[in-house]
Parts: sequence; structure tokens; C-alpha cells
Amino acid sequence: MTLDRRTFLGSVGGALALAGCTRRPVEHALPTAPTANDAAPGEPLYYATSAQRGADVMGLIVETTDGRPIKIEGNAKHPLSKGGVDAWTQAQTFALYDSQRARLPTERSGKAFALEIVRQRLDRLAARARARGGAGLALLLEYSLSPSYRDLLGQIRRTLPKAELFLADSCAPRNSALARQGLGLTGLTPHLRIATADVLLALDCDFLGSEGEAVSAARAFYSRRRGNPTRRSANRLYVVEPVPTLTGDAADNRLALPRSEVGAFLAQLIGQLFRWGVNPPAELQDWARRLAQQTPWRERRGRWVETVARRLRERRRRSLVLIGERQPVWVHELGWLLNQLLGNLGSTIHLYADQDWPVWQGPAAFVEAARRKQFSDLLLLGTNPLYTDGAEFAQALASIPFSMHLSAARQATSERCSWHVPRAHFLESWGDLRSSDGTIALQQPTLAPLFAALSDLEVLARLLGMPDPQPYNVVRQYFQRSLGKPGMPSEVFWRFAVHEGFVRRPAAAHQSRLPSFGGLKATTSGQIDSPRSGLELVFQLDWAVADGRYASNGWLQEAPDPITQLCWSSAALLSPTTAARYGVVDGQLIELSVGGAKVQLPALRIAGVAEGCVGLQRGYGQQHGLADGVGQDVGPLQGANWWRGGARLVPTASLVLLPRVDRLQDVARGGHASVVHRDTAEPARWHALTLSPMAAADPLPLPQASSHSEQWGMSIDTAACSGCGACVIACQAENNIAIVGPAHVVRYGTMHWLHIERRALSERSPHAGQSGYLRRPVACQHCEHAPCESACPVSATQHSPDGLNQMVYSACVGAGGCARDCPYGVRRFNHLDHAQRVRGRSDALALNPRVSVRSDGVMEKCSYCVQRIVHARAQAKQQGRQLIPDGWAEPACARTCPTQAIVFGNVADRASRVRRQKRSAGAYRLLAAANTSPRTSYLLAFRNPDPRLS
Amino acid sequence: MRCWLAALGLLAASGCRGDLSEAPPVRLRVDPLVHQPSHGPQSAAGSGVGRAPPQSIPLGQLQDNNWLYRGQRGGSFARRPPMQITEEMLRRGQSHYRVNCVPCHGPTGSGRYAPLRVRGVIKVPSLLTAALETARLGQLYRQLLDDRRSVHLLFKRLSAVERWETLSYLRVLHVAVSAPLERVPQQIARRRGWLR
Repeated sequence: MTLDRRTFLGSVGGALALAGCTRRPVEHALPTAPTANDAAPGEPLYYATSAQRGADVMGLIVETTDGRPIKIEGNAKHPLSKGGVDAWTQAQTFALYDSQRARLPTERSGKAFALEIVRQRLDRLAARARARGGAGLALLLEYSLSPSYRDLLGQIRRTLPKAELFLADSCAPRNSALARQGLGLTGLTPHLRIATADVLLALDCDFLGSEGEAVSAARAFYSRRRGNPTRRSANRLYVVEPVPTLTGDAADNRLALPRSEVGAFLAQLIGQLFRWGVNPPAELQDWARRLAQQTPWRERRGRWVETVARRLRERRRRSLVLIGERQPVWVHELGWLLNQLLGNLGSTIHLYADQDWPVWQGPAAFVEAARRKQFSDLLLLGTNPLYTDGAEFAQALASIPFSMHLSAARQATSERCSWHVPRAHFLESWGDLRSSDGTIALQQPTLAPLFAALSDLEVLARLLGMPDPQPYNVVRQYFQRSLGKPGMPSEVFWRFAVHEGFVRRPAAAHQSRLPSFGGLKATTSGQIDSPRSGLELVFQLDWAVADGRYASNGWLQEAPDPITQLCWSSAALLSPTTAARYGVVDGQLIELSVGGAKVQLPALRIAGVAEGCVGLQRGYGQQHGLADGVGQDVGPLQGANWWRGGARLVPTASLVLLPRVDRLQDVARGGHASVVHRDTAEPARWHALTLSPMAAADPLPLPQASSHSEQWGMSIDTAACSGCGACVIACQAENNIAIVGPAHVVRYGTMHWLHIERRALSERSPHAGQSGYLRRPVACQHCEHAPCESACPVSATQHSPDGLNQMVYSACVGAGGCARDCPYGVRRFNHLDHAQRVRGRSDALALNPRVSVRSDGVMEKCSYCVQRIVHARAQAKQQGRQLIPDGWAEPACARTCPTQAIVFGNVADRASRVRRQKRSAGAYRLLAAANTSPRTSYLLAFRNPDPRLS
Repeated sequence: MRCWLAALGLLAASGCRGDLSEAPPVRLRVDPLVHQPSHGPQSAAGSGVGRAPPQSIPLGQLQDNNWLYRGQRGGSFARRPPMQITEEMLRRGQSHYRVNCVPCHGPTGSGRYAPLRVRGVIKVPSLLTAALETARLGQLYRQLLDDRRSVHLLFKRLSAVERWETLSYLRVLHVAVSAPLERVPQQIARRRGWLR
């Protein structure tokens, strides 16, 4: 057939007609009735609830829109957390909508089935177990601060006496609890009154970052440093630790010591006090004499022992000694002894009666028990022991006929269990949590369960054969039994407690029981001076993923580690000296071997790691979800302790590129003229403030008078910034900031609008020998003379009358001039359509409907959370107010900061906090000489170093 | 040749039957700022999203005041609203009524002259019946809230205080519809030309 012109046109016409017949789009129109709790569509509703991380309880306010939680914030009324929230808890909205979450129970083969079958099976299993007194049943649990949970465990102990309970949780405060048991302090929980302590000594204890009640501790600690403190009003923190942590960074004086020697340091300290005539408790007279006779340490470490002992003795009753969870039980016991010698019990440490966590035997005990006797059923509630405890556990698991793993998504352990059952998220289920001061926070669901899932409480209640095992009933019944207020109808009290989110502790005062140190002699004998050999491996819970439980959380994986600045990766941390000894450079693969186990991972040089130590993070090297292939699992190297001596290091010839974000370096690489200024004058300023008393700086010029009554501005008190990263995650959750993955991080960095800039103290610091970093959060500075605005060819970035530097996404053509001209390096360009990852998946439910999702080719940056300003303005207008009251419009970072370092408000309002802070001494602007007149200003950082140690 | 074109035409026609597809719409160029992945009130989530969590209590909805939130006072329905009745309050009630009730019930509550009625869309019963006039305000409050049909969504969406204001204004309508001319203030009657 020849193709003439007519035929050709006909064919083309036909083809065009066909092309026009694309699928007709399905557009859904759904009635919004019935709405969640009668909320208007698009209007946020707020719920008070609470969350646990490790041993920390945070009161929360969860913002939901159209029935879905969008943003987790702190409950300012909660007596302990007072509105602060950490990064991990805020990142839980990511986990809630994670498309990797399991949707139905599955068998080992992957075949899914209905949740009702699990319930039936559990009921049958429970009936059988009750008939046999629990014989053949084993439970592996995660540490919980829930009184209802502990109450159910107590009931299980009573009704199923032969059932065996084990704890498989690396984040549990195990050693401190065992120490309390050894000292006869059972049934008591210590509550630290950090704000009242003048001198603090943290021994391998990251109490400001990841251990204990870190949120309330940070707030209390920095309350003595906020707002231009004086030497007299400020507290002083000494830290002895093997690998830098946020607490070590905040220290006024820090000593890097291998983990195995921290106990010996403490013994030296106590010996020194005995030598100075401090009276030991009666039962320890002989032991104390021997301790006083041990050879004192010399040189730097000796000076440290002597100085710290002196300072602590000077501040009797107003000091505090904190021992880290990675230290063994006997060191914790020594810590209690020291606190008692210093008179701190009853002053800086209060003891409150509490229901103890009943289970401390770990996975090793389970493996042993499984070998000894036959378990027929095993229930694993929320733990992942196959990953944390390895091959031996797998063998024990294989010997059990029926095992059920309850977890949010399939993990290593689920693959080896008979059944995997989805676990309910804490925003979907009822619960309660108790803080150290006795406050009981309630956990109420903020949305109906997304997928078929069970909560831990329901599983335990079913085991007990409770008639109504729903978590709501369990919590409510416990509440009624143990907390009901006399004279108040229980319904009214319950509703009030749920609404407020917590119940204050009963008026009962703290207990005055003293520890008895009778057993101390036995536990410490032979431990204090144990010799160390070879290279010491020091294991840490990772900042981002803890023991691996947050490994599939993209927000946490992508947030740069405050110490290493690594994201999506783990590394072996070496001090520069140790690295030089082995000839190792950053990113070089090294092989670590100890006791027959070998692991290869990249090395990273970090100042502040103790000599002869290698810092290793747990939690990486998993093979599921987003965590698949991220980092290396160092579990095989770890023995029973959190350190291991006698390791060998062999460098290999391979180098890997580590995804590391160090914003200050990024800016320097850009070669902008103002960077010169940044690199020289700025650090000097940072340092000046740490040392000298605050010189009365010129008061900061305020924005020029304008017809607009609102002039927004921010002030950040760097003296109160711990660098915890809560603001970074808050910003990410609020503003739909995309995660980009390790490859993109290596090329272009992350998309975070807010990053935490840091500067090493030792660099050109007049205080030689001081380590650690000063940190400050940096986002768009909203300059009044913004260079980016004049650089944009299409006016896509403009100034608003209320002083915001605004991005018009729809106008942006991606020319990039604004980013090049920005001296602060805070603009982020979308090289790819990052939102593609979530399109059409449940992850998209986490997106804030009040903030546009940016696509490829668009520049983005901090907006001062303009959507919140607009919302506050609407509310003020509704109430007939002329001006938005101070504190109504608060960006996510300021609302969430545990230490209240960030203050935002209307600078034109004479009564506003931000105006006061900007006018106070020590306020400064970044790159003031660039004459950009930023709306964000900073207050000077602060350190209070001991002159005897400098 | 004809066969070719006919086959093409047939094929084209078969593609244009207008069947709806379950698959997401095909868009040759997705405008990312228009078709955002974020969910709005109209998104089909197909899961628990949007359902109220049972028994939980949002902030500000403790509703511990039975009179205000349930229309009950001392075990029976309240006769009057829990707040003081002032002219301002009635004017606010009038404004809520105009926004939320007039489209169906009309400006006087009789159902006549209602915009939707005028267009012949629906017929709505009058609010001026004897039963409603004699019912206690608390009873009306409860009835409107317990109404499971969606017709009174607009009422439910008001805050508790606004609901009482609206109901108080309804009482004004009840009084007004049966008020004799003598009870109308003189100056209003004169302005309206009702005085002979």
C-alpha cells in the first residue's frame, strides 16, 4: 500500500482521535459528614496525649486536620516536659503513615489473614496457659512506663506463675534499676531536680540528649543559662565520657576517658573525698579506708579528680552526680554512694514511690531458658531481638512451635516467627505513662486505627482472659481502681484527665528512705582496677535510630547526627590521634575484630573520642524498609557489656563517600564573598561571648516604623541551644520538607529549611583544651535588605508588609540566583520531584494541608511558618482583637524547642518577648556587616569553664 | 483504504465509550502545584482517616457544662439559654440564622420565601409550629444535635454559644409571628407604615 497525502492525514487524524480518548479521570467527591468530633473541614482539632521514649515521658498536643494527625507538639501544662518535645517523638507522624507499615497479620510465608483470627488464637492460647498455670508460655517485652501495663504484668505473674517474662530492650534503664534494687530502693523512682543543682557531674551519661528524662532535664539545665546568665547564677557541668554526646558538647569541662575507666574515675573521686575526711556510711568503714588508700591518679586525670571532688564538696546538697545507663551496675551503686556523701538525696534527688518494672532478665536469659525447657508459645511485644541479639536468639526461636511478633512493620524477627501481627501506633491506641515525679499522663488516640493492629495492652489483657480487653477499658479500669478521686464522680474525673492529658501526682511527699550499701563491697571487688587491653570498642545507641527501632523513619535518618553530622549512615568514630596511629582517614573502610567476630565499616575522625577507643553506633545494618542497607550492624562485636576491650583494627584500601552534612563547610565551598567574613569575624564573636562577662553590646536596631502593625521577628538564645535537633524535625513535619536519601545528600545536601550550625570551641579558642561545639539553629533570616529578592529575575521572592521574605512557588523558575546571593546558605533547591515518593501512598497523609508541596525546579526556604501567622490572625480577628496577642503565632521550631531557646513574635509590639530579647545585652545578628538587616537575631552563647582545669 | 479508515474509526469509537476507570487519571503533564500529593477534605483516603477516635476528647471539647452542651438543667430540659439574653446576643443569633438557616427555612422561619424553596429544590417544614413554640429551648437544642441526618450539619458546626444564640433568635421569630400590632414599638411600626 502506498501512503499518499490523504491516507497519511487520515491516519494521523485517527491517531489523534485515539489519543484524545485517554482514561477519564476519577474524581472523588466525598461528603465530609460525619466529621471527627464535629470539626469543620480544614479546621485543626487538638488532642492532649503523651508518648514515651526510653525513660522519658512527654505530654503532647497533637494537631489533627480532617481526622488525621499532622503535627505533634508539647503540652505546655504537663508538669515535667512543659511543652518540650524531642526529635524522635515528633518524627512519629512519619511512622504513623509509613507505607511500609504492616496492614494485616501475616504468616511466615507472607500469607495475610484477618485480625479476628489473631484475637481468637490469643484467647485459645490464654485459656490453655491459664489451665496450665502459664507453663510453656514466654513473653519478650519492651520497657514500658505505663502503670496499666505494669499492673497487667503483675496480674500475669500472679495468675500465670509458670509463664516466663523477659525484657528485650536496649533502651531500658536496666543498670540503674538493678543498682536501686541492690541498694534496697525497690519501689522508688528517683526524680532529679536539675534546676536546683549548681554543680553537675555526668559520668558517661547523656542526660541532655538521649538518656533519662532528657526533655525536662534539658529545660531545667538551660533554665540556669538562658537570658544572659552571670557566673553566679549559672550552673557548671563536668562531663567524663568516652565518645562525644550532646551532654559532652554542653559541658563546661569535658574529660575524654575510655568507658571501662569511668568507674575507676568515680572510685578515685570517692577515695579523694574520704581522704579529705568525709564520713562514709557505717557499713562501709573498712571498704572506705581501702578506697582512700588506693594510689591517686596523676597529671591531667589526677587534676580532674581533685578539682571535681573539691567543687562537689563545696556545693554539698546543691550538686548532682549522674551515671550513664551504659555503665555497669556497680558504677551506679558508687554513684548513689557519692550522691549520699554529698547530701544530695532529699535535695537534688527526690525519691517517689512507684510500681517497679517487674522484668529485668534479658534475651540471653531467654536463650538459656529455651535450652533448658520447652516453650510452646512465645509472644514478642514490640521488640526486635533477632536483630539486637543475633544468631543465638534465632536458634532458640526456631525451637518454639508457635511464636507471634507484634511490631509496626515486618522486621528481622518477624521473618522467623510463626505470625507477624501489626502493632498499633501510640496515636491510635489508649494508654498511660508515668513520669519520675509521679505525674500520670494519659495516652488517647487521635485517629481511629489506620490498619488492622493490636496494642500491647490488648494482648496482655487477652492473656489474662479479661472480659473486655480493649485498651480503653484496661486503662479506664486501672484508673478507676488506683487513681479515682474521692468525692468526684469517676466519669467527670476521667473526662477531665483525658482532656488535660495528665493527672498530677497525689500530694504525697517524696520518700526519705536511704540506700543501704551493705552489698557494695562485694559488687565492686575486683572491678575498680580491672586492667584494660588493646583497642576499646564503645557502643552507643545511635542518635537517630536508637537501638534500631527508628531505623525506618526517614525524617530521623536524614537529620544530621549532631556529633558526626552523618545522615543515612554509621561509622566507626576515632579520635584524630588514634586515627593517625593507624593511618586512617575519613571514609576509609576499617576492619574491626574482637573475639572471632569481624565487621567492616567506614572510619570517621571525631575530636573528643577518648584515645584508644572506637565509638560504634547500634541500630544500623537492618534489611527492612527504608533502613535496608543503611550503615553496618556492629552487634556481632558487642558482648554482654556496652564496651569490649582487646579489639583489633585493620585499615583496608577502600574509601567510601559518607553522606555528611556540615552546612558551614558547604557555604565556605560556595566561595561567596561574605563567607570570608563568616569564617573570621563570626567565630571570634561566638567565642568572645563564652568567656568574658557580657559587654553591653549596642542595642540591636529594630525594624523601621511601618504602617503595618505586625512586624515579625525571631530571637534565638544560643546559650540555651543544646543542638538536639527537635526544631529541625518540627520544621520538617510542619512544612512538608522532603527526604531525599543518601545519594542526594552527598551531591546536594538535605532539604531542611532549618539546620544547626556548629563551630568547634577549640578552634582559635582562648580556652585551650576545651572541646565541644557551640551550636545555633540557622534558617532564612528574613532580611529587610534581602539580597535574594534583588537576584530573582521573576520576583518570585518578595517582601511582605509584615516583614516576611516570601517565596512564590508558582512563580519560581528555578534560576537559582537567590541561593547564590544568600549569604546564609539557607535556600534549598528541588533538583528532583521529591514528593513523587509519597504520591498515592499512605505517606502522603503526613503532609500538612496548609503548606504547599514543592515540586522539582522550585526554590524553597523557611517561611517563619506563615500558615500559622495567618491562622493566628484569623483567630484574633474572630475575637475582635486589633493585634495578634504575643505567643499566638509561633513557628513550629519555637513551639517545640525543649529549652525555649527560640522566641518569635511581633517586634512592633512593645510588650512582646521577642522585642525584649532583641533589646537585651548580647543580642547580635549574623553577618551584621553584610548590611542585610535580618529579622532573626541571636543571643550570645555561654560557657562556664572551671578556671582550675583550663 | 476505506477499510483502513473504518477500522481506525471503529477503534477510536471503542476507546470513547466513556467508561470510568478505577485507575488514577492519566495526565499528560502533572502540574505539581495543582495536583499536590497532600490530602484535603475531599481526598479519598480509604482508611480510618477522618473517623473520630471513639471516646477521645479534643481540647476545648470537655463539655462539662450540661446546660451549655446538652441543653439540660437539673435533670430536665432548660427553658432559657445559659447566657444572658441581650439585644447584642440576639443580633448575633440573627446573623447566624441568616447564614445557616435562611436558605432552607426562610427569613421568618415559615419555610416560605426560602431561597431553595423559591427555586423549587426542596420543601422544608415550618419552624413556627405550635409544637416548636411550646417546646423548651433545651429540647430543641438536643433535637438538633441528635438529628443523625446531615440536614442540620450547619447547626452542628456552630459553637455551643453560637447555637444558643441562634435558638434564642428562633424564639424571637416565634414571638414575632404571633405578636399583635400593639406590641410592635411605635417608631418601627410607623417606619414600616403599619400604623394607620
